[in-house]
Amino acid sequence: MRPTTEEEIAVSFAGLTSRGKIPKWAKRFNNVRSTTLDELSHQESLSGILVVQDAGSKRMEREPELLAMLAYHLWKSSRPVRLVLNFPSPSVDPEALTHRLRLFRQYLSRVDVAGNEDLEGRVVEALAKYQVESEETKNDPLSQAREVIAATRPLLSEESGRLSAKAVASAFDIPWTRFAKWIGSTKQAVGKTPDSAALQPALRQYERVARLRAVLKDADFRAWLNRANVHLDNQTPLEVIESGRVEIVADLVESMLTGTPS
Amino acid sequence: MEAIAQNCADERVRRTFGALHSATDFYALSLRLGEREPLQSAGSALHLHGEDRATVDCEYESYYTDPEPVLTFYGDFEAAAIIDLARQEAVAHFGFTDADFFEGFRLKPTPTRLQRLGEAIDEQKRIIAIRYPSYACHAKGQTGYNWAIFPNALGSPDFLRILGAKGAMLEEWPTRKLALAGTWLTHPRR
Repeated sequence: MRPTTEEEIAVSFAGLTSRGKIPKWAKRFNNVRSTTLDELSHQESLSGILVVQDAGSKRMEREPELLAMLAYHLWKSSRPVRLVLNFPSPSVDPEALTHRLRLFRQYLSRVDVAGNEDLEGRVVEALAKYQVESEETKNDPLSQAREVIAATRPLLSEESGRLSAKAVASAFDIPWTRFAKWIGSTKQAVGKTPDSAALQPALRQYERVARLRAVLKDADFRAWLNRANVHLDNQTPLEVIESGRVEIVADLVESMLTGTPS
Repeated sequence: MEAIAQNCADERVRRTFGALHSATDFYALSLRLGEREPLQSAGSALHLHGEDRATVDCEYESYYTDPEPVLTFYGDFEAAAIIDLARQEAVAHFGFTDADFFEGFRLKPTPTRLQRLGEAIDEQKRIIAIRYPSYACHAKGQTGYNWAIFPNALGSPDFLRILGAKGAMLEEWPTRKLALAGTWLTHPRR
Protein backbone atom coordinates (compact mmCIF):
# COMPACT_ATOMS: atom_id res chain seq x y z
CA MET A 1 0.00 0.00 0.00
CA ARG A 2 1.07 3.59 -0.50
CA PRO A 3 3.18 5.30 2.11
CA THR A 4 0.96 7.48 4.18
CA THR A 5 3.17 9.15 6.70
CA GLU A 6 5.47 12.03 6.06
CA GLU A 7 8.38 9.92 7.32
CA GLU A 8 7.87 7.30 4.60
CA ILE A 9 7.31 9.54 1.61
CA ALA A 10 10.42 9.80 -0.55
CA VAL A 11 11.79 13.29 -1.19
CA SER A 12 14.25 13.34 -4.09
CA PHE A 13 16.50 16.27 -4.91
CA ALA A 14 17.61 16.06 -8.52
CA GLY A 15 20.38 18.09 -10.08
CA LEU A 16 20.57 18.84 -13.75
CA THR A 17 24.00 17.40 -14.45
CA SER A 18 25.16 16.17 -11.06
CA ARG A 19 23.38 14.78 -8.02
CA GLY A 20 21.07 17.19 -6.28
CA LYS A 21 22.14 18.95 -3.11
CA ILE A 22 20.12 18.04 -0.06
CA PRO A 23 19.48 21.18 1.98
CA LYS A 24 20.16 20.97 5.71
CA TRP A 25 16.49 21.40 6.58
CA ALA A 26 15.58 18.39 4.42
CA LYS A 27 17.71 16.03 6.47
CA ARG A 28 14.88 15.76 8.95
CA PHE A 29 12.92 13.72 6.42
CA ASN A 30 13.61 9.99 6.84
CA ASN A 31 13.42 9.12 3.19
CA VAL A 32 15.41 11.84 1.47
CA ARG A 33 17.81 11.18 -1.38
CA SER A 34 20.00 12.85 -3.90
CA THR A 35 19.69 11.94 -7.57
CA THR A 36 20.04 13.32 -11.06
CA LEU A 37 17.34 14.43 -13.47
CA ASP A 38 18.49 11.69 -15.81
CA GLU A 39 18.02 9.01 -13.17
CA LEU A 40 14.59 10.31 -12.31
CA SER A 41 13.59 10.45 -15.95
CA HIS A 42 14.40 6.80 -16.42
CA GLN A 43 12.51 5.64 -13.38
CA GLU A 44 9.41 3.75 -14.47
CA SER A 45 7.67 4.12 -11.16
CA LEU A 46 7.94 7.56 -9.66
CA SER A 47 6.84 8.23 -6.12
CA GLY A 48 6.98 10.94 -3.50
CA ILE A 49 8.16 14.49 -3.93
CA LEU A 50 10.59 15.32 -6.72
CA VAL A 51 12.54 18.53 -6.44
CA VAL A 52 14.26 19.55 -9.66
CA GLN A 53 17.04 21.97 -8.84
CA ASP A 54 18.45 24.49 -11.31
CA ALA A 55 15.09 24.59 -13.06
CA GLY A 56 15.89 28.07 -14.31
CA SER A 57 19.11 27.16 -16.08
CA LYS A 58 19.59 28.14 -19.70
CA ARG A 59 20.45 24.56 -20.57
CA MET A 60 17.04 23.39 -19.53
CA GLU A 61 15.57 25.96 -21.86
CA ARG A 62 17.74 24.82 -24.76
CA GLU A 63 17.11 21.16 -24.12
CA PRO A 64 13.46 20.73 -23.10
CA GLU A 65 13.81 16.97 -23.53
CA LEU A 66 15.68 16.98 -20.21
CA LEU A 67 12.35 17.53 -18.49
CA ALA A 68 10.07 15.98 -21.10
CA MET A 69 10.79 12.38 -20.13
CA LEU A 70 10.18 13.18 -16.48
CA ALA A 71 6.93 14.90 -17.46
CA TYR A 72 5.88 11.75 -19.30
CA HIS A 73 6.54 9.48 -16.33
CA LEU A 74 4.78 11.89 -14.03
CA TRP A 75 1.76 11.78 -16.30
CA LYS A 76 1.78 7.98 -16.34
CA SER A 77 2.22 7.60 -12.60
CA SER A 78 -0.77 6.24 -10.68
CA ARG A 79 0.66 7.77 -7.52
CA PRO A 80 0.06 11.35 -6.47
CA VAL A 81 3.67 12.30 -7.25
CA ARG A 82 4.38 16.00 -6.89
CA LEU A 83 7.09 18.00 -8.58
CA VAL A 84 8.74 21.11 -7.22
CA LEU A 85 10.66 23.14 -9.79
CA ASN A 86 13.34 24.97 -7.89
CA PHE A 87 14.41 28.27 -9.46
CA PRO A 88 17.41 29.41 -7.43
CA SER A 89 17.15 33.03 -8.49
CA PRO A 90 14.68 35.07 -6.45
CA SER A 91 13.17 36.63 -9.57
CA VAL A 92 11.79 34.00 -11.91
CA ASP A 93 11.67 34.83 -15.60
CA PRO A 94 7.96 34.45 -16.50
CA GLU A 95 8.82 33.31 -20.00
CA ALA A 96 11.16 30.59 -18.75
CA LEU A 97 8.55 29.50 -16.25
CA THR A 98 5.82 29.27 -18.91
CA HIS A 99 8.22 27.31 -21.08
CA ARG A 100 8.81 24.71 -18.32
CA LEU A 101 5.18 24.46 -17.27
CA ARG A 102 3.99 23.77 -20.82
CA LEU A 103 5.46 20.31 -20.45
CA PHE A 104 3.15 19.63 -17.53
CA ARG A 105 -0.03 21.13 -18.90
CA GLN A 106 -2.20 18.10 -18.08
CA TYR A 107 -1.38 18.02 -14.40
CA LEU A 108 -0.25 21.49 -13.45
CA SER A 109 -1.89 21.06 -10.07
CA ARG A 110 0.90 18.61 -9.19
CA VAL A 111 3.66 21.05 -10.02
CA ASP A 112 4.92 23.72 -7.64
CA VAL A 113 7.48 26.40 -8.23
CA ALA A 114 9.85 27.59 -5.52
CA GLY A 115 12.83 29.81 -5.08
CA ASN A 116 15.57 28.85 -2.65
CA GLU A 117 13.98 30.95 0.12
CA ASP A 118 10.58 29.28 0.02
CA LEU A 119 11.70 25.80 -1.07
CA GLU A 120 11.31 24.31 2.40
CA GLY A 121 7.74 25.57 2.69
CA ARG A 122 6.85 24.27 -0.77
CA VAL A 123 8.28 20.83 -0.06
CA VAL A 124 6.43 20.59 3.24
CA GLU A 125 3.24 21.67 1.46
CA ALA A 126 3.83 19.10 -1.28
CA LEU A 127 4.37 16.38 1.35
CA ALA A 128 1.10 17.26 3.03
CA LYS A 129 -0.79 17.21 -0.27
CA TYR A 130 0.82 13.90 -1.24
CA GLN A 131 -0.20 12.41 2.07
CA VAL A 132 -3.81 13.54 1.74
CA GLU A 133 -4.04 12.25 -1.82
CA SER A 134 -2.44 8.93 -0.81
CA GLU A 135 -5.03 8.48 1.91
CA GLU A 136 -7.76 9.15 -0.60
CA THR A 137 -6.36 6.54 -2.95
CA LYS A 138 -5.86 4.08 -0.13
CA ASN A 139 -9.52 4.44 0.82
CA ASP A 140 -10.59 4.08 -2.76
CA PRO A 141 -8.93 0.95 -4.14
CA LEU A 142 -11.39 0.66 -7.02
CA SER A 143 -9.98 3.85 -8.49
CA GLN A 144 -6.94 1.82 -9.53
CA ALA A 145 -8.84 -0.92 -11.32
CA ARG A 146 -8.09 -0.96 -15.02
CA GLU A 147 -11.76 -1.36 -15.96
CA VAL A 148 -12.75 1.58 -13.77
CA ILE A 149 -10.07 3.79 -15.24
CA ALA A 150 -11.25 2.91 -18.74
CA ALA A 151 -14.92 3.41 -17.85
CA THR A 152 -14.36 6.84 -16.38
CA ARG A 153 -11.77 8.16 -18.83
CA PRO A 154 -14.48 9.77 -21.02
CA LEU A 155 -15.43 11.89 -18.01
CA LEU A 156 -12.08 13.65 -18.04
CA SER A 157 -11.18 16.82 -19.85
CA GLU A 158 -8.50 16.10 -22.43
CA GLU A 159 -6.88 19.43 -21.65
CA SER A 160 -6.56 19.26 -17.89
CA GLY A 161 -7.04 15.58 -17.09
CA ARG A 162 -9.62 16.61 -14.51
CA LEU A 163 -13.27 15.60 -14.37
CA SER A 164 -15.42 17.71 -16.65
CA ALA A 165 -18.91 18.59 -15.45
CA LYS A 166 -20.19 18.57 -19.03
CA ALA A 167 -18.79 15.10 -19.72
CA VAL A 168 -20.17 13.75 -16.45
CA ALA A 169 -23.60 15.25 -17.17
CA SER A 170 -23.54 13.62 -20.58
CA ALA A 171 -22.75 10.20 -19.07
CA PHE A 172 -25.78 10.61 -16.81
CA ASP A 173 -27.85 11.84 -19.75
CA ILE A 174 -28.65 15.06 -17.91
CA PRO A 175 -28.46 18.54 -19.48
CA TRP A 176 -25.33 20.12 -18.08
CA THR A 177 -27.24 23.28 -17.27
CA ARG A 178 -29.38 21.21 -14.89
CA PHE A 179 -26.39 19.22 -13.66
CA ALA A 180 -24.64 22.45 -12.66
CA LYS A 181 -27.25 22.92 -9.95
CA TRP A 182 -26.78 19.37 -8.67
CA ILE A 183 -23.11 20.03 -8.02
CA GLY A 184 -23.81 23.32 -6.29
CA SER A 185 -22.59 25.48 -9.15
CA THR A 186 -24.14 27.70 -11.82
CA LYS A 187 -24.53 27.18 -15.54
CA GLN A 188 -22.33 30.23 -16.09
CA ALA A 189 -19.50 28.76 -14.02
CA VAL A 190 -19.80 25.28 -15.53
CA GLY A 191 -20.17 26.73 -19.02
CA LYS A 192 -16.97 28.71 -18.61
CA THR A 193 -14.76 26.10 -16.90
CA PRO A 194 -16.44 22.69 -16.76
CA ASP A 195 -13.27 21.08 -15.38
CA SER A 196 -12.46 23.70 -12.76
CA ALA A 197 -10.53 22.54 -9.72
CA ALA A 198 -13.27 23.87 -7.47
CA LEU A 199 -15.82 21.44 -8.99
CA GLN A 200 -13.66 18.34 -8.53
CA PRO A 201 -14.79 17.31 -5.02
CA ALA A 202 -18.46 17.39 -6.08
CA LEU A 203 -17.76 15.64 -9.38
CA ARG A 204 -15.80 12.86 -7.70
CA GLN A 205 -18.97 11.29 -6.25
CA TYR A 206 -20.53 11.21 -9.72
CA GLU A 207 -17.40 9.61 -11.08
CA ARG A 208 -17.81 6.87 -8.45
CA VAL A 209 -21.34 6.26 -9.71
CA ALA A 210 -20.21 6.23 -13.34
CA ARG A 211 -17.78 3.41 -12.52
CA LEU A 212 -20.72 1.11 -13.06
CA ARG A 213 -20.04 1.63 -16.75
CA ALA A 214 -17.12 -0.74 -16.20
CA VAL A 215 -19.66 -3.58 -16.25
CA LEU A 216 -22.74 -2.02 -17.90
CA LYS A 217 -23.09 -0.56 -21.38
CA ASP A 218 -23.93 3.15 -21.55
CA ALA A 219 -27.59 2.50 -22.34
CA ASP A 220 -27.86 -0.06 -19.53
CA PHE A 221 -26.20 2.35 -17.12
CA ARG A 222 -28.74 5.04 -17.96
CA ALA A 223 -31.59 2.56 -17.64
CA TRP A 224 -30.23 1.52 -14.23
CA LEU A 225 -30.19 5.16 -13.13
CA ASN A 226 -33.89 5.43 -13.94
CA ARG A 227 -35.07 2.09 -12.58
CA ALA A 228 -36.54 1.63 -9.08
CA ASN A 229 -33.91 -0.07 -6.94
CA VAL A 230 -34.65 -2.40 -4.04
CA HIS A 231 -31.44 -1.31 -2.31
CA LEU A 232 -32.64 2.30 -2.35
CA ASP A 233 -36.06 1.59 -0.88
CA ASN A 234 -37.44 1.36 -4.41
CA GLN A 235 -36.41 4.86 -5.35
CA THR A 236 -34.44 5.25 -8.56
CA PRO A 237 -30.75 6.11 -8.30
CA LEU A 238 -31.47 9.39 -10.07
CA GLU A 239 -34.15 10.29 -7.53
CA VAL A 240 -31.69 9.69 -4.70
CA ILE A 241 -29.03 11.71 -6.50
CA GLU A 242 -31.43 14.54 -7.17
CA SER A 243 -32.32 14.61 -3.48
CA GLY A 244 -28.68 15.48 -2.80
CA ARG A 245 -27.43 12.05 -1.68
CA VAL A 246 -25.21 11.03 -4.55
CA GLU A 247 -22.71 9.41 -2.16
CA ILE A 248 -25.33 6.79 -1.23
CA VAL A 249 -25.64 5.77 -4.86
CA ALA A 250 -21.84 5.80 -5.18
CA ASP A 251 -21.57 3.41 -2.22
CA LEU A 252 -24.19 1.15 -3.78
CA VAL A 253 -22.18 1.04 -7.02
CA GLU A 254 -19.10 0.09 -5.02
CA SER A 255 -21.01 -2.77 -3.43
CA MET A 256 -22.19 -3.89 -6.87
CA LEU A 257 -18.70 -3.86 -8.31
CA THR A 258 -17.13 -5.72 -5.43
CA GLY A 259 -20.04 -8.12 -4.96
CA THR A 260 -20.59 -7.03 -1.37
CA PRO A 261 -23.73 -8.77 -0.14
CA SER A 262 -26.59 -6.98 1.52
CA MET B 1 -19.48 -7.96 25.09
CA GLU B 2 -18.33 -11.04 26.99
CA ALA B 3 -21.95 -11.61 27.94
CA ILE B 4 -22.92 -11.53 24.29
CA ALA B 5 -20.18 -14.01 23.48
CA GLN B 6 -21.34 -16.32 26.26
CA ASN B 7 -24.85 -16.11 25.00
CA CYS B 8 -24.30 -16.37 21.31
CA ALA B 9 -21.13 -18.34 20.68
CA ASP B 10 -21.12 -22.07 20.98
CA GLU B 11 -18.96 -24.76 19.44
CA ARG B 12 -16.36 -23.90 16.84
CA VAL B 13 -17.88 -23.33 13.45
CA ARG B 14 -16.37 -23.93 10.07
CA ARG B 15 -17.89 -22.74 6.84
CA THR B 16 -16.97 -22.60 3.20
CA PHE B 17 -18.87 -19.94 1.39
CA GLY B 18 -18.83 -17.98 -1.81
CA ALA B 19 -18.73 -14.40 -2.89
CA LEU B 20 -19.95 -13.53 -6.33
CA HIS B 21 -18.48 -10.69 -8.30
CA SER B 22 -18.52 -9.02 -11.64
CA ALA B 23 -16.17 -9.71 -14.49
CA THR B 24 -13.09 -8.12 -13.01
CA ASP B 25 -10.66 -8.65 -10.20
CA PHE B 26 -12.41 -6.01 -8.09
CA TYR B 27 -12.49 -8.44 -5.22
CA ALA B 28 -8.76 -8.09 -4.84
CA LEU B 29 -9.35 -4.39 -4.37
CA SER B 30 -12.27 -4.70 -2.06
CA LEU B 31 -10.49 -6.09 0.95
CA ARG B 32 -11.40 -3.05 2.86
CA LEU B 33 -14.70 -1.54 3.78
CA GLY B 34 -16.84 1.08 2.17
CA GLU B 35 -18.71 3.75 4.00
CA ARG B 36 -22.05 2.01 4.19
CA GLU B 37 -22.60 -1.66 4.59
CA PRO B 38 -25.21 -3.67 6.42
CA LEU B 39 -22.97 -4.37 9.39
CA GLN B 40 -21.29 -1.03 9.72
CA SER B 41 -21.80 2.60 8.80
CA ALA B 42 -18.24 3.85 8.54
CA GLY B 43 -15.05 2.17 7.46
CA SER B 44 -13.45 -0.62 9.42
CA ALA B 45 -12.08 -3.91 8.19
CA LEU B 46 -14.84 -6.36 7.46
CA HIS B 47 -15.41 -9.17 4.99
CA LEU B 48 -18.90 -9.89 3.81
CA HIS B 49 -19.72 -13.18 2.11
CA GLY B 50 -22.78 -15.05 1.05
CA GLU B 51 -23.13 -18.36 2.86
CA ASP B 52 -23.72 -20.52 -0.17
CA ARG B 53 -24.10 -20.40 -3.91
CA ALA B 54 -27.86 -19.84 -3.78
CA THR B 55 -27.40 -16.83 -1.53
CA VAL B 56 -24.65 -15.23 -3.59
CA ASP B 57 -26.76 -15.75 -6.71
CA CYS B 58 -29.60 -14.00 -4.94
CA GLU B 59 -27.33 -11.13 -3.94
CA TYR B 60 -26.02 -10.83 -7.47
CA GLU B 61 -29.48 -10.80 -9.00
CA SER B 62 -30.55 -8.03 -6.65
CA TYR B 63 -27.87 -5.83 -8.20
CA TYR B 64 -28.02 -6.73 -11.88
CA THR B 65 -30.99 -7.36 -14.09
CA ASP B 66 -29.04 -9.04 -16.86
CA PRO B 67 -26.50 -11.77 -16.27
CA GLU B 68 -22.94 -10.56 -16.61
CA PRO B 69 -19.81 -12.71 -16.54
CA VAL B 70 -18.59 -13.03 -12.99
CA LEU B 71 -15.69 -14.17 -10.92
CA THR B 72 -16.46 -16.39 -8.00
CA PHE B 73 -14.28 -16.53 -4.93
CA TYR B 74 -14.65 -18.85 -2.03
CA GLY B 75 -13.90 -18.40 1.61
CA ASP B 76 -12.84 -20.99 4.13
CA PHE B 77 -13.41 -19.86 7.65
CA GLU B 78 -13.13 -21.28 11.13
CA ALA B 79 -13.71 -19.55 14.43
CA ALA B 80 -14.67 -20.29 17.99
CA ALA B 81 -16.94 -17.35 18.69
CA ILE B 82 -19.56 -16.04 16.34
CA ILE B 83 -22.96 -14.44 16.66
CA ASP B 84 -25.51 -16.40 14.71
CA LEU B 85 -28.53 -14.24 14.01
CA ALA B 86 -30.33 -17.24 12.57
CA ARG B 87 -30.79 -18.38 16.16
CA GLN B 88 -33.85 -17.09 17.92
CA GLU B 89 -31.98 -16.76 21.24
CA ALA B 90 -29.46 -14.44 19.64
CA VAL B 91 -32.15 -12.38 17.92
CA ALA B 92 -34.06 -12.14 21.20
CA HIS B 93 -30.89 -11.22 23.08
CA PHE B 94 -30.42 -8.14 20.92
CA GLY B 95 -34.12 -7.44 20.61
CA PHE B 96 -33.98 -7.48 16.81
CA THR B 97 -37.11 -7.72 14.73
CA ASP B 98 -37.55 -8.48 11.03
CA ALA B 99 -37.46 -4.76 10.34
CA ASP B 100 -33.86 -4.64 11.58
CA PHE B 101 -32.83 -7.16 8.95
CA PHE B 102 -35.11 -6.43 6.07
CA GLU B 103 -35.45 -2.68 5.87
CA GLY B 104 -32.90 -0.96 3.65
CA PHE B 105 -29.99 0.61 5.49
CA ARG B 106 -28.62 2.86 2.78
CA LEU B 107 -31.07 5.73 3.11
CA LYS B 108 -31.25 5.70 6.89
CA PRO B 109 -30.01 9.01 8.33
CA THR B 110 -28.33 7.32 11.30
CA PRO B 111 -26.62 3.94 11.75
CA THR B 112 -29.11 1.09 12.00
CA ARG B 113 -29.19 -1.23 15.01
CA LEU B 114 -27.48 -3.92 12.93
CA GLN B 115 -24.72 -1.50 11.95
CA ARG B 116 -24.28 -0.50 15.58
CA LEU B 117 -23.92 -4.16 16.54
CA GLY B 118 -21.26 -4.59 13.84
CA GLU B 119 -19.39 -1.55 15.09
CA ALA B 120 -19.51 -2.82 18.68
CA ILE B 121 -18.19 -6.22 17.60
CA ASP B 122 -15.41 -4.54 15.67
CA GLU B 123 -14.16 -2.92 18.87
CA GLN B 124 -13.49 -6.23 20.60
CA LYS B 125 -11.38 -9.25 19.75
CA ARG B 126 -13.41 -12.21 20.94
CA ILE B 127 -16.26 -12.51 18.48
CA ILE B 128 -15.00 -13.04 14.98
CA ALA B 129 -18.08 -13.06 12.82
CA ILE B 130 -21.79 -12.41 12.55
CA ARG B 131 -24.11 -14.60 10.53
CA TYR B 132 -27.12 -12.59 9.46
CA PRO B 133 -30.12 -12.93 7.13
CA SER B 134 -29.67 -11.79 3.54
CA TYR B 135 -31.75 -8.76 2.63
CA ALA B 136 -31.56 -9.66 -1.07
CA CYS B 137 -32.83 -13.21 -0.51
CA HIS B 138 -35.65 -11.94 1.66
CA ALA B 139 -36.65 -9.45 -1.03
CA LYS B 140 -37.02 -12.43 -3.40
CA GLY B 141 -39.06 -14.40 -0.90
CA GLN B 142 -36.16 -16.74 -0.16
CA THR B 143 -34.07 -17.46 2.90
CA GLY B 144 -30.32 -17.04 2.85
CA TYR B 145 -27.54 -15.92 5.16
CA ASN B 146 -24.48 -13.77 4.84
CA TRP B 147 -21.40 -13.68 6.99
CA ALA B 148 -19.64 -10.58 8.27
CA ILE B 149 -16.13 -11.50 9.35
CA PHE B 150 -13.88 -9.15 11.28
CA PRO B 151 -10.36 -10.05 10.16
CA ASN B 152 -8.66 -7.80 12.70
CA ALA B 153 -10.07 -9.98 15.44
CA LEU B 154 -8.84 -13.21 13.90
CA GLY B 155 -6.14 -14.96 15.87
CA SER B 156 -4.84 -18.51 15.62
CA PRO B 157 -6.37 -21.09 15.55
CA ASP B 158 -9.23 -19.12 13.93
CA PHE B 159 -8.70 -18.32 10.28
CA LEU B 160 -10.20 -16.92 7.12
CA ARG B 161 -8.88 -17.99 3.75
CA ILE B 162 -9.92 -16.59 0.41
CA LEU B 163 -9.75 -19.27 -2.23
CA GLY B 164 -9.61 -19.03 -5.98
CA ALA B 165 -9.44 -21.55 -8.78
CA LYS B 166 -9.04 -25.16 -7.72
CA GLY B 167 -8.87 -24.12 -4.11
CA ALA B 168 -5.72 -22.04 -4.50
CA MET B 169 -5.36 -19.77 -1.48
CA LEU B 170 -5.24 -16.10 -2.41
CA GLU B 171 -5.27 -14.49 1.00
CA GLU B 172 -5.20 -15.72 4.54
CA TRP B 173 -5.88 -14.24 7.93
CA PRO B 174 -4.49 -13.93 10.54
CA THR B 175 -1.12 -15.19 9.44
CA ARG B 176 -0.11 -13.61 6.18
CA LYS B 177 -1.20 -12.19 2.91
CA LEU B 178 -0.26 -14.10 -0.19
CA ALA B 179 0.50 -12.68 -3.57
CA LEU B 180 -2.66 -12.09 -5.55
CA ALA B 181 -1.96 -13.83 -8.81
CA GLY B 182 -3.97 -14.73 -11.86
CA THR B 183 -5.61 -17.71 -10.30
CA TRP B 184 -9.14 -16.39 -10.08
CA LEU B 185 -11.86 -18.79 -10.96
CA THR B 186 -13.60 -17.37 -14.01
CA HIS B 187 -16.74 -18.69 -15.52
CA PRO B 188 -19.88 -17.39 -17.11
CA ARG B 189 -22.69 -17.27 -14.65
CA ARG B 190 -25.20 -18.94 -16.88
